[in-house]
Amino acid sequence: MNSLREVWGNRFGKYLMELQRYLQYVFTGHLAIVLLFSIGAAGYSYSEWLKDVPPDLPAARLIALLLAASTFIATPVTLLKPADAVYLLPLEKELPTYTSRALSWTFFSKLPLPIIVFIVALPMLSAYEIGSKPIFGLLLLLIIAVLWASVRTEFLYRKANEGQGVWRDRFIRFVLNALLFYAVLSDQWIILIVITIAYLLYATLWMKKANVQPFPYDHFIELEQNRMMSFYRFANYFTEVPHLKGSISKRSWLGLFMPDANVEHTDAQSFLLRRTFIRTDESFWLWLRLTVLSILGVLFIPFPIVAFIFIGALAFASAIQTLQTLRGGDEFRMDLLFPNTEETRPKEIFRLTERVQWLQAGLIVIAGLLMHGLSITPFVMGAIVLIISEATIRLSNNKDEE
Amino acid sequence: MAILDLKDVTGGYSRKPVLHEVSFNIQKGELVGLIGLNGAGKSTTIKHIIGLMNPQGGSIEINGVAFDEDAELYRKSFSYIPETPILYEELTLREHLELTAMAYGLPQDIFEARSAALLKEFRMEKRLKWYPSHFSKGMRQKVMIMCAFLAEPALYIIDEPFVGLDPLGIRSLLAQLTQRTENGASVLMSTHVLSTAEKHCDRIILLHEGSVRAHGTMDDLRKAFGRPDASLDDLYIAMTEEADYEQLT
Repeated sequence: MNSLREVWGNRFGKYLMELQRYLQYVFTGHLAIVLLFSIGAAGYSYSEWLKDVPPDLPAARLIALLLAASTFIATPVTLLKPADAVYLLPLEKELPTYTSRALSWTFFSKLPLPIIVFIVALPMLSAYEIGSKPIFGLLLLLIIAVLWASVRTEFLYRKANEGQGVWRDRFIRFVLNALLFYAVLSDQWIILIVITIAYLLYATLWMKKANVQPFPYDHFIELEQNRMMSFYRFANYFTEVPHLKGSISKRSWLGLFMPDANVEHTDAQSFLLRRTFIRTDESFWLWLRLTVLSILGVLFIPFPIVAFIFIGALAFASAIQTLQTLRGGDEFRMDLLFPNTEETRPKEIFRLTERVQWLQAGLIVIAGLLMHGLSITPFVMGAIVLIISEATIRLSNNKDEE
Repeated sequence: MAILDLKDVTGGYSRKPVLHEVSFNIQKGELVGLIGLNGAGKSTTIKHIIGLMNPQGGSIEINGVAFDEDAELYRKSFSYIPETPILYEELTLREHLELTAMAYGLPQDIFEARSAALLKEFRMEKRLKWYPSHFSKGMRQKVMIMCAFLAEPALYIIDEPFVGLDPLGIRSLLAQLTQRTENGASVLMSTHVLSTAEKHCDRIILLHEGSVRAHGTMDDLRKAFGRPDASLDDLYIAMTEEADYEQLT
């Protein structure tokens, strides 16, 4: 049906624009440099390792497992939206027009990973004298076929079972995929035929079961929302993402920092912001991650001057991110109507940011004492965190007031 | 002195106003219904009153104080229940109540007494440690209502309060409103449940296309429309048909 084809076409166009919009932030700046250096260093180590490979390594099995690992997770990308559960309901018979395009995109979007594993594995296969050019060609075709089968089967399994127990299906396919790749790499053609037949029977089983089930819109919509939310969370580390809804965790183990309130003696904004910071995953984990990275920097960077720069940069990042998450977005909150909210909220945001940065400084001093002993260096490190944090908070304050 | 006084309020989201010289007032102890079609300007009127929007013309005073004169005193004088419950996902029910008590400066003993009574009235005593993600829409609305009633201000501004509430919740809300108006508080209530508005409101303001078309008691409105036995539903439909006819001619 033309209508569903157009629906997919429109959504796919918008989805690509959305991906492009955020990926430009992700792959510019410091991540691109980190990736470039990491890939360069990994490539160099791999080429050095290939010069003198350990003779007893089961290379064929290892590569079969790696290829299986890169092909067995095939979560469908459907681009379905919550309203589809209502509006597409009468079009269920025509839905394959939509889902076949969704599965094609899922296949092509997941193809680069196993192809990269294959290309990286080629020199290793040569080093161990496994296979020949025709075998490598067959292996490439098999990778493409296995990925396509994985994408189709996972979709059918999810449709038949409303997504329940998907890891059982993935485990079975992981084993089948690994055996198929191993059969080609070790010239065991009978195993290849037997496993191929088993795979076809397995896929046919789920095709038959899926055909008699109504389309589980709720499952696929939830899956799609979770997938996009993961992407937005990732992109949020690099730029501000408006779609992101903060997930909440109780974190009662931090109850010490959220004592029972006496309403007469506690400031409303202080009470609210403290709980927002501790219970909102985004703000809490971001600060904790940057603090742990900073501590690792103190413990493992041998040159103090480099460690100073490293912890200073992270102090700036955690102070600015904490300020931004506590300020919140533009949406209406009930505390906007509280009697003296304009005066107290900015003050409490700065106060809480100061406190968490003091805590970070304290942890850095402890890590510094472990690394450098009782000397001036740990205290210089703590002072750097405090000075950079305080400067960030005050400059941010002035910028807001301008 | 009127508790709420709007004089010739003109305002909206852009330069093209949604509200056109809206004037009305609410006296002490009155429950006034703000009635109008979707898009008539009810929510925009409320947003101007609670200080989320600035009027392009005219004035708004609560207890004789304009927002620009003393924002803190102005805000302390009212509490607001929005149409869609807006809660903090990171706070429990008890913490929502505590936060409200802190913001409005309630002493601890008064907070405990008032919150216990409200929790009992709205049957939420066993849910004190629950987070909003576990609440139904009606329960979320009850949290908003309890927080608004906890502060006991001079004026309650309530936007579509019955949406999502079960019959017992509606009864509790109406009982609370009656009790509070008897104690001298005033209420501005926007609603589409006309039978309830007719039964409980002291006065009705009929808003149409951003202007006050008629206001007064039910008897005043019946006289104005020349329909002595009409219900509020009949008057409401008559008003919209009259307005449509005026537009056509």
